[in-house]
Amino acid sequence: MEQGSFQGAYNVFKIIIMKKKRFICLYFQVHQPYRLGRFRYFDIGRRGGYFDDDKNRAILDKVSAKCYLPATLLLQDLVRSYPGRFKCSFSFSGMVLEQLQEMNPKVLSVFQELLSQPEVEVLAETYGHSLSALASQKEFEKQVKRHGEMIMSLFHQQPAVLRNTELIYSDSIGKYAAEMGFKGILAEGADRILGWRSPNFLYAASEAPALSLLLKNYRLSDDIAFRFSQPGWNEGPLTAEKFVHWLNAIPEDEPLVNLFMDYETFGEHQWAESGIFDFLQALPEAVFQNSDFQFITPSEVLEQLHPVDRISMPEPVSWADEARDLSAWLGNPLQDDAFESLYRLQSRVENCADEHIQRDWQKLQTSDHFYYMCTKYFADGDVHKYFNPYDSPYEAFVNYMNVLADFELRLETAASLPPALRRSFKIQREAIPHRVQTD
Amino acid sequence: MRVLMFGWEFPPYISGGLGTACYGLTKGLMEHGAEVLFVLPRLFGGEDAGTMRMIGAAEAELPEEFSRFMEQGKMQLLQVNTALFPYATDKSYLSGDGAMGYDATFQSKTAMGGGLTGMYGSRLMDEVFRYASLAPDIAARHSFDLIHAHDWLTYPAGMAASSYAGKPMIAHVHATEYDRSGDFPNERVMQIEKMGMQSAERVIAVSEYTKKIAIKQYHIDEKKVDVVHNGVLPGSEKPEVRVDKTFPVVVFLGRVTFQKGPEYFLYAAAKVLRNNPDVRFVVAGHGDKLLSMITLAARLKISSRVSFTGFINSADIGQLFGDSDVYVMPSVSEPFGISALEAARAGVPVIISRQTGVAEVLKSALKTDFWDVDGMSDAIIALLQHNSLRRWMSRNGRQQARMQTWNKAASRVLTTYSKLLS
Repeated sequence: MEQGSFQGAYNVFKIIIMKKKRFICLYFQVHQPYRLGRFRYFDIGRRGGYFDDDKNRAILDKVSAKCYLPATLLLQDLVRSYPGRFKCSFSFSGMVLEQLQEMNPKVLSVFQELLSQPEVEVLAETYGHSLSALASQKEFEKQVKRHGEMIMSLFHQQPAVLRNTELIYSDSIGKYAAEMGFKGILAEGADRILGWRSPNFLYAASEAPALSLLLKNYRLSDDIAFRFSQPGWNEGPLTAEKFVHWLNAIPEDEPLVNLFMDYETFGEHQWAESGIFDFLQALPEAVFQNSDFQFITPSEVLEQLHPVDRISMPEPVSWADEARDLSAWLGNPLQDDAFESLYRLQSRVENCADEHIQRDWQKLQTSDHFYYMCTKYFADGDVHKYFNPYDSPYEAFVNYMNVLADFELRLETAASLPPALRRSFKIQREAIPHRVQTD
Repeated sequence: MRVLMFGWEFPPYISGGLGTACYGLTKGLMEHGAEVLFVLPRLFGGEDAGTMRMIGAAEAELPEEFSRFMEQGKMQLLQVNTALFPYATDKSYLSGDGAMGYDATFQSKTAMGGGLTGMYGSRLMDEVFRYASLAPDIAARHSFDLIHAHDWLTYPAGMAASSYAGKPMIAHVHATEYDRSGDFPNERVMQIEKMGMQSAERVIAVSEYTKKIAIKQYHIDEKKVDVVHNGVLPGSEKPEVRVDKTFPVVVFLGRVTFQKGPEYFLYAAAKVLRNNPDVRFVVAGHGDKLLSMITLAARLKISSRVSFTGFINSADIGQLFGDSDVYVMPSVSEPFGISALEAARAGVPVIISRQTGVAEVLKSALKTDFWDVDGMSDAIIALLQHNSLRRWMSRNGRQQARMQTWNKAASRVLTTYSKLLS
């Protein structure tokens, strides 16, 4: 009898607790690569200037106008309308921040304004939006550190949660993150890892239990990021009410829904005409009116929830394509040779103090260059083509390798090696009588 | 002496070595006092010009001395109404052109990419016979002593003109289907080649190597075949030797196709790089094997030392020769190989496969079998290591290339003419 009434009271208590503790964690990724210009064999050793400044500026301006400005102003409004209640998080690659600094400081200041609100958290990532975690722990840590310094100077925040490039995570990367002192990391909630388990809990890294894993709910995230305006989707048009209805359908004991997506979803991947901004604007109100969910930032998740289990990902998992592995960036012979050739230069770059070299080194590591070399969808054309400035992955590869060859030459001349150790090859050819001799 | 000559391309609108050869040869012939009626395929309006770049011979800007020859009445350019012209971007045409080389005057939309099928389309065959059907009319309207036809695309035209006018014909073999496709030739093309060579009164082969193929593969009577090696035009471009360069450059220049053996170049490159990791290799040219060669370089893990240029124009070729320390032509079967002479003329030491005609005149070149990547890499390493060897080869190669003039080639051709007319 006594025991029965305790059980009843406990159940009521549990429901109250559960009702209170259900969270939506919004995370937006902001990145633009430095796209390469055409770089021919004849340019090797003859000119610097790897990047297509005009194109990069044009794309940055376009994305700023369609997404960065309107979406950020809207989020500012939402944070002001629901103080302490509407929350979200961001991470920015060093690449997009450098470009905003150089070419569009106005947009940067709008971001700074939003990020100055306590409701908005900024996460750590690699400076170059690189795949360095797959090549070298040392390089990875250097990049995260360089990125952290930039975040501190621009946003005055010290990131406590890490998001690796393209949500790439593995047990090793978990260890790197824990060793750097991060308490949490974002990762993909891939079915093949989770099996019967749900992404809607907090997990811990199997090799580093002090590190918590926030796993992306890819179904609900992709409903917004990919399917929102997809023709023929039988759930379209998606409204905030419908989305909240889906949130409510999640079993009550699952406390966390991680919605991770590219920021460019708003206005760039999904155009304004699709109603994506209306959706975003209506979402907080719909959540507050019709559900028990609260918005939360990644750091708050770590305070509010405890990991329910350990998750192991021996092989890297990403958020790209159906495969959710590395095959968008690595795996074909072109990508692998380019990747290995790049990181063969690492120790030489470390010994080089030249700041131009260091900056180009970051830019050349950007994962997008390897994405352009992906042959998976070369035949039928797909999302890869949409993002690819080259006509073919082969062209992307050849161009990249020419740039890398030039970079290597610069590295050798800039390196503080004594002349005796520098490699050299003196041309000794017979003078051609009618030739223009250069001196 | 008046010659009715059937060709299919002429400078400046050339897609390969054949146009250059026709230019050099006709120039040499006229210097020797011969008169040439040069027939080129051409479109006369009405066709769908939108998809093709149409350049008729009349619009071609002729080199100055040709205008002079034309003024003196020594040369006439004739056009016939057919779509067969060398600037089509038709895939079948591109792959069917035996002499198609690196000097692509037409521009691909993209520098790289674009697959060539290596197959012959039916349209090309139609054009060949359409060209031939117009030949009797041309023969009727002009007087001439003999007919000279260049390669299989023009053999049917030459044969038609010959049988109409009752004048003897010479088949000039610049390349054969056997060279282009090895053991998997296009039967129809081979048939036309065989017919042309057999019905011609005399055959001119661009090398002893090609003469042997004509005898062995096409069963042509040995006594009927004369060898006339191609010449090389005096260098108009002055290669600007790059003196600031800190790395050696080894170059492959030509169509990236089965015939040219690009894979042997890459296998040899991989071996050289084990010996000297600083060498840079350049594969200059386009072709149906380009993408698989890019992949091969990546598989061999040498992409950081190999550049693929895709199509390359003549100005870039000059610069490339200026950059290059070694030129390699690993052709599986090369009737002549004029670009090896051009490299030699620019002072670049040359390594050629034994399966090339140019080996017969470029005596100083190092020679290996095309499949012998060990020999090829040894030769590259030796050239890069020994300045004295490189200097010696550069000097000798340039001398030998200089001696190989079109004027000399033309006088040999005139000997064939007189054999025919006597």
